[in-house]
Amino acid sequence: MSKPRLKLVAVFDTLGHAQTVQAGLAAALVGTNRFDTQLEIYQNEANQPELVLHVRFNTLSDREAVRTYITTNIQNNALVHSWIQRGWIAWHLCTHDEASVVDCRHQTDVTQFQEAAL
Amino acid sequence: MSRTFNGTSDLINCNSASGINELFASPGGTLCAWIYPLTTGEGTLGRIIDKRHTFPGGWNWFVDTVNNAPSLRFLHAFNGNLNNGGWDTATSSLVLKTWQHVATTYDRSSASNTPTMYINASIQTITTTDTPLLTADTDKAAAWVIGNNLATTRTWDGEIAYMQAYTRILTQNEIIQTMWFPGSITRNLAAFWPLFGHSAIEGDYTGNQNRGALTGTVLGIRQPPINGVFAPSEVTAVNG
Repeated sequence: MSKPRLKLVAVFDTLGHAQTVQAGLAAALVGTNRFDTQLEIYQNEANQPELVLHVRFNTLSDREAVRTYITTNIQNNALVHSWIQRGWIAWHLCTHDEASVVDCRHQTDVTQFQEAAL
Repeated sequence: MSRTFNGTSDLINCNSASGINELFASPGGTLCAWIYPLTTGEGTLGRIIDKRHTFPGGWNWFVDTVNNAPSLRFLHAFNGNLNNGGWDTATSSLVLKTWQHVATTYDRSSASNTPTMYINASIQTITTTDTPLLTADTDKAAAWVIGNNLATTRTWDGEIAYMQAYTRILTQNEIIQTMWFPGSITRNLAAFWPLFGHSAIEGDYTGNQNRGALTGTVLGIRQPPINGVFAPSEVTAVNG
């Protein structure tokens, strides 16, 4: 069974901004067919609010729809982008379930954005 | 033998149990592991161990690229997560794409204590990058996670092998011994995860049952240059 994966990690300037984006992501996920979902905010090692969305979708089209939402509304949105200290999106390019594959590190594409401001 | 972590999602969750909680409470504790970092890991802060999540407490041990990059960093929460202690080895003291043995000893009973950090059994010069205040926070509510944090945002990229945890501070000579002969010092050995990479559950070879649930991680393709390993059979460890 294929499980197209998508992960977004973003470190925010304030908890309120992180919660705003979290609410947007939760809305974007409504109606999508997902195997499992992790959407949370935690305090990272520098005590900054860090949002993580990690989803295994059941369909590739849903994964692509959410990835497009992230690109449009977070990565390329000037206001939201300005809230983010650093972040990255990772998506697995294969269509297998990772549990059945020995090592597929070469098949995950990671896009960093806002790397500079640590 | 080793386990490889893919830099994006792998981890081993050993949960929290009394034997591996409060490792650094008086009289202190020791962490040892062999590491082979391919890169600095996810978020450029790849975890060797993380025992600190949303709970305001705990500690983590990781590659640092914020201070002295790349260095070995140990961070312990203090004062309700408000004044944490953070210590780093020197700039470029960690080397990518190379096996190195890392160890840290620490007694958290006083904020003025500093850890002793070893790379290949040599004592490292430490920089206090965050000064702790007041009292150390408990770690007992946080899961012991190997190769990541529980949020899966700091995945190790590369291999880890022969992780040991002691409820006492090992001497430098003992660090040397555990480096070449993992598992050979058993006094106060709280947990020993050889990370052989071939079982469905990561066994604790002390028999203390601190088993790790695997997410993704598989047998590594590289092996650290040890001289021998002291471990009972895996069946005993997993079942016992």
